[in-house]
Amino acid sequence: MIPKVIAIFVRDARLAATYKLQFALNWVSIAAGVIGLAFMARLVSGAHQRSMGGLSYFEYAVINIAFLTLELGTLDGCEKVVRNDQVYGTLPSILSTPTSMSVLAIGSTVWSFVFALVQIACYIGFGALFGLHLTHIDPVTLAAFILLSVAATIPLGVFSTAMVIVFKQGAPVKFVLSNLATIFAGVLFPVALLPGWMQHVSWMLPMTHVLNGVRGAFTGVPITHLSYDAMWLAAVSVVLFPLALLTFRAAVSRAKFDGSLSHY
Amino acid sequence: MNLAQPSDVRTPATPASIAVEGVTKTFPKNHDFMTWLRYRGRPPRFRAIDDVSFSVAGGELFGLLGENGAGKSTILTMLSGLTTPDAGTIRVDGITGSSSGGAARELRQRIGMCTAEERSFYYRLSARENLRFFGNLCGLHGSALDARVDIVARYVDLRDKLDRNFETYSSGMRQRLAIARALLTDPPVLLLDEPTRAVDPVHARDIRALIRSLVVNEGKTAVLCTNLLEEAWELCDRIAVIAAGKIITVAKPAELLARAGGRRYAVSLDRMDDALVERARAVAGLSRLIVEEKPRGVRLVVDLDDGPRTLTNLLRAVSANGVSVDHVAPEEPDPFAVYASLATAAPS
Repeated sequence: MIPKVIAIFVRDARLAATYKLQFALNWVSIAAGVIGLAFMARLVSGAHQRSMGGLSYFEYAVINIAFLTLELGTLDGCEKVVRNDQVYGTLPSILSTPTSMSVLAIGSTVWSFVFALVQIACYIGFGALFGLHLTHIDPVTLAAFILLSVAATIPLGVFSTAMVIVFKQGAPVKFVLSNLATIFAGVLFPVALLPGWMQHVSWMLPMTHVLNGVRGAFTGVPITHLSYDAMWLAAVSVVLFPLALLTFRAAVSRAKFDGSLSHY
Repeated sequence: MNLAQPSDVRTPATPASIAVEGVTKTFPKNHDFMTWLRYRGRPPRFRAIDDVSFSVAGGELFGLLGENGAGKSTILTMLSGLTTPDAGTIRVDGITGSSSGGAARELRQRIGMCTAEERSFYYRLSARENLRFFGNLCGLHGSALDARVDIVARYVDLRDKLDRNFETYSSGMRQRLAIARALLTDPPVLLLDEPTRAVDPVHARDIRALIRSLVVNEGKTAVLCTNLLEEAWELCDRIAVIAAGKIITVAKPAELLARAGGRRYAVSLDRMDDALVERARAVAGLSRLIVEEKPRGVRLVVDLDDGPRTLTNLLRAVSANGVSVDHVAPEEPDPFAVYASLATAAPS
């Protein structure tokens, strides 16, 4: 399994590296985003600093946006790769090999995950230049929430991929989750500012719990104090992962029945 | 130019066999959303393959010959497991085509698929990177994979071009790389969809020799899908002629010719005029008459429905006006005529 996952990762990394301009623009866009936030943060008063876990607005927003990148990267990594394989025409050749669906799903996410980690490092690096404090980070909590974030998001990405295999264009899971996250997950403002019923929606999103945990890690909160968020994410991943693989398998079966595996 | 041939002639283990029984396949007529809605998720389908059965013995090269759209590639994709039949069973090397999990992976391990689709590689990667990637997915790694890449690249004469980006390859080179990929794992079963499509004549000849050698010397079982009559005739042990999703006949090339044999004759006459041609055409049981003017006399090529009796009547008719019959001999049937008569006789 691992050599195949590595093979898929290497392929995706090589393909990404061939698009040099896009590769370079990623870093420029991160730098521009952080600089923009630094100036925007001057407009925000410290009135809600408590609900931001003691972080300044700049720190709050940079951390959230950085880790939203990880979430979205993991969410659409598999879907993007499979969609590319549809368009390149390589999907039938891949499915002709003795590669299991789970290897394909996980392998297709790895590049996005690694790339997102590098992007996070850039966000944090640029953020540090503008006042993001890194001295209190709890590395165990941070690592745990990165892993839990991936574990809870991969199944959602696999659901999204299943849709792409059947419907080709359009990924409603990604669309809904990424748009919901902007409003409900507390990316640009604390969830505590939302009305009560909206906070219930917020609670149902994995991103809310991931961002809670990650912000906690940046302020030195140990994992034991964030066990509620951690348990929530672990439970979601345990429940959703087999369901997602079954859905993916069903989608491939459907495409095989309709003869649409090579369609795009 | 000679492509490398498999040099280590091995006595194969039990060659893999293929059995296809009563397979039918339908496809949606279209995939648009409105049709899908109108028919509540069950859009009308058309029948691409209709109750097809055949078997391929281990170590046999079996040809699927037919017009574009006859259903050849659909049969191949069903054999490879990329398309699921609506009805019927497919068994490759004892494994059912509709298997899932480990059995399905085992099946895919035993099949090498050469697609006719040019878009089946990563354009921005080199040929070597492409082969390595697909080799990895087939469970090959490290030096064993490198050695295998080298061998299959030699088979298709691409060894010195492996580090070029796939996008710089010509159509023929892409096709040759697809053959190389199919051979990466040295699979016992080869599914070859128009393997010489777009390939230049010299390489096409060498690829045919390679395919034949893989079957004869290594005991591989191969299904070859082709539009090229001469390719099917030259390579295949047996040919299935397909038209409109049905198998019209399955036979050895020689048997197909023999079925049509004994019915075509060449008759040389010292002269012939229009009236005589009309009398000849009026002979019952004559399906075709071709008149060829020669420097000394006329040559008639005639296709007869029932052989000798019609021939006797024809000779009587043409020799009645003092025309002398110089020579009568049976003609070897033309494979094209044999194929055309089978394909056009198929129900639409």
